Amino acid sequence: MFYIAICDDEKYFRIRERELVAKYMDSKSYKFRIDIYDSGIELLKEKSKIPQYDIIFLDINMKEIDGMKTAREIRKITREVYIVFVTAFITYAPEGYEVDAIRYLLKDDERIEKAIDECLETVIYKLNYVEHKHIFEFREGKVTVFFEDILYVESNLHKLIFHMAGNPDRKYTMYEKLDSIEDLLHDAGFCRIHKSCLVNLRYVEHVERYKAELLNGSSLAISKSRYIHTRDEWICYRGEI
Amino acid sequence: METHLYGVFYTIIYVLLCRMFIETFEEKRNISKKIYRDGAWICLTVMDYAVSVMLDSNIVLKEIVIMMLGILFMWGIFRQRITKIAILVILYQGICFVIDYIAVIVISKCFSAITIERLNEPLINLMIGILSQMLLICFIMLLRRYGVKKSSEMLTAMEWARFTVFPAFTIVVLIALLTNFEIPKSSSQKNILLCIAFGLLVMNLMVFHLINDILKREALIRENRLLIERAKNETGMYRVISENYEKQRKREHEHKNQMAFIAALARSNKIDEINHYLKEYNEEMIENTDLIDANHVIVNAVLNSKYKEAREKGIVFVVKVNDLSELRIKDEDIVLILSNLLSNAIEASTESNEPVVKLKFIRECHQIIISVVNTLSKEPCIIGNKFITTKEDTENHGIGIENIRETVEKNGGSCVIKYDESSFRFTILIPDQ
Repeated sequence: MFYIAICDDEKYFRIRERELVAKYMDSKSYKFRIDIYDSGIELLKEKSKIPQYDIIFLDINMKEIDGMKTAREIRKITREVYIVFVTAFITYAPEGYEVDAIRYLLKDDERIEKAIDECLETVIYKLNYVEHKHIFEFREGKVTVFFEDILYVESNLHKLIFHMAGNPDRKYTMYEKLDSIEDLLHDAGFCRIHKSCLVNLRYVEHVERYKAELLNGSSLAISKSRYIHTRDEWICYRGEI
Repeated sequence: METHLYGVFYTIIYVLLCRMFIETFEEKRNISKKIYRDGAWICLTVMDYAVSVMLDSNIVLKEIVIMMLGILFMWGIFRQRITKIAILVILYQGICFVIDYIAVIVISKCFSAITIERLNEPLINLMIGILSQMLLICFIMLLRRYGVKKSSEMLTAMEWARFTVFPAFTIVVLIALLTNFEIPKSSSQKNILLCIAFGLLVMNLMVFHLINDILKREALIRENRLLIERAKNETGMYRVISENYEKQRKREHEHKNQMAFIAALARSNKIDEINHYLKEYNEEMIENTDLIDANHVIVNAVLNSKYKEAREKGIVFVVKVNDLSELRIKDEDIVLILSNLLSNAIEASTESNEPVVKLKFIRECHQIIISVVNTLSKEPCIIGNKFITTKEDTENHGIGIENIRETVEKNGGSCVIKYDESSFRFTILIPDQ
């Protein structure tokens, strides 16, 4: 079951978007529910409902509070929902990146159908096939970890140390082989840069011979044999669309 | 007389090989005229031979004088630092000794027909000299192929393997001549034997030079094609930009007329007509205005023209851009990279079932990331080690990609290409500081 919200202050587009989304979901025989909102304020009133949505379509040009502001408010509540902006122009709006929108769709009546199809396909693929979290049995106890919170995993004397992002002191340990963790995390944007280190590419700011600099200022060694592979993986990760 | 003739031949090849050896490492600086350089080569050969005849009894002195002459002349010809040239010449001389020694050892140990006493016979002596020079040629070829990558790196492994048939066969023939023949009695037979040996040696040198020349020419042709392609790109973009400007001017001009017309309609209260007119006007506006704005004139021009092209061909075009106003890459490089990437992507995706082209062009943390993903109808094939095409006509393909790669590398960035049977992904990262 997919929960989808559409928020647009123009009636014509509200209805058109709902029609197109429903058409796509029906064609793939997915179960779904669509909620319609005619302004950002309406949507933000439903604080408890927002985290349930999988996808929110947001018109950027709305009166009172616009799509960008609405998106920022949504991100304060949840970072899991996929936000899709629907707009008359694609601009370089700097805030767009803060709120991590997956797509910008143009309100171009002839083309919007295909664009919505592509967008839904991408989102549903990510929802269904890409794992985001896992319950690990650490020595410190069972913990549900969001992959994006892991900074890097280091192996040290048969022990794995999970270094978490944000707080440098937050670490978990477990007895396990790095190879098996690599299999689990590979599709989540992790890269083995050294035989004893698996790093989350999300936090890599810069790669050079033979080290990776992380966003928090620390740096990790890359082994010579893995350098080219690491650099290419990192570049591809940065280019994900 | 004959001994002198062979001696001169031997010296010529010695000097030629020395030149090839140094050329492997150093570019010639063409300061002096060609005629002077050719004169210098001849001069060096003559002097080398004279020295080797005059100082035949004192080997140490002979070698020292020959090396000094070599250093002096090579320095004059190559115009590089004298220490560098000296090291190279001494190295060459050392390698010559080692290879001579190897040739003698191999021949005398492996083939019982050749005894130490017979090594002193002038014919055997000369033949071993030729053999060791042949080995030296092989050494230089290998050096050029695997040590210092130069034009021979353009040869594919297969072509290289075919080419090595020449030197390998020559060495086999030389060894066979040395070991399987009795020393001929008559001098004319001796001469024929030596001529065959020298002939083979010269032939190898010729083939090697021929292939190098062909490769050089091919590189030149390729470079030219890249240049032409680049120029085409640029003029195309300038045309789009100037057309845009022209259109804008026209629109501005028409704007006045349209406002006057609407005012006239309003004065006579024709609301329906005004609405109808505005609707038409809006549709036209969407057709003509730029829908994508990345705050960079050139990027906008390319993106919007490509967006329109994709739209006309029914391709879904997904765009992610941020503020690119502070890009430090040159405009022509941006045009080249973007328009090539997008043209390729549009062209390749049109043939697929659900054509989609996705572009990400952002600048963050002092890095520029450009990434283009498109759908494919079939897996692309690789030609040689150059990329890549889905087309039958391979002649002109891969040029765009090579152009992009070159431009990206010039800007200190790197490219990554990944593909499978249904999608093609080209990602570029360029530091922007």
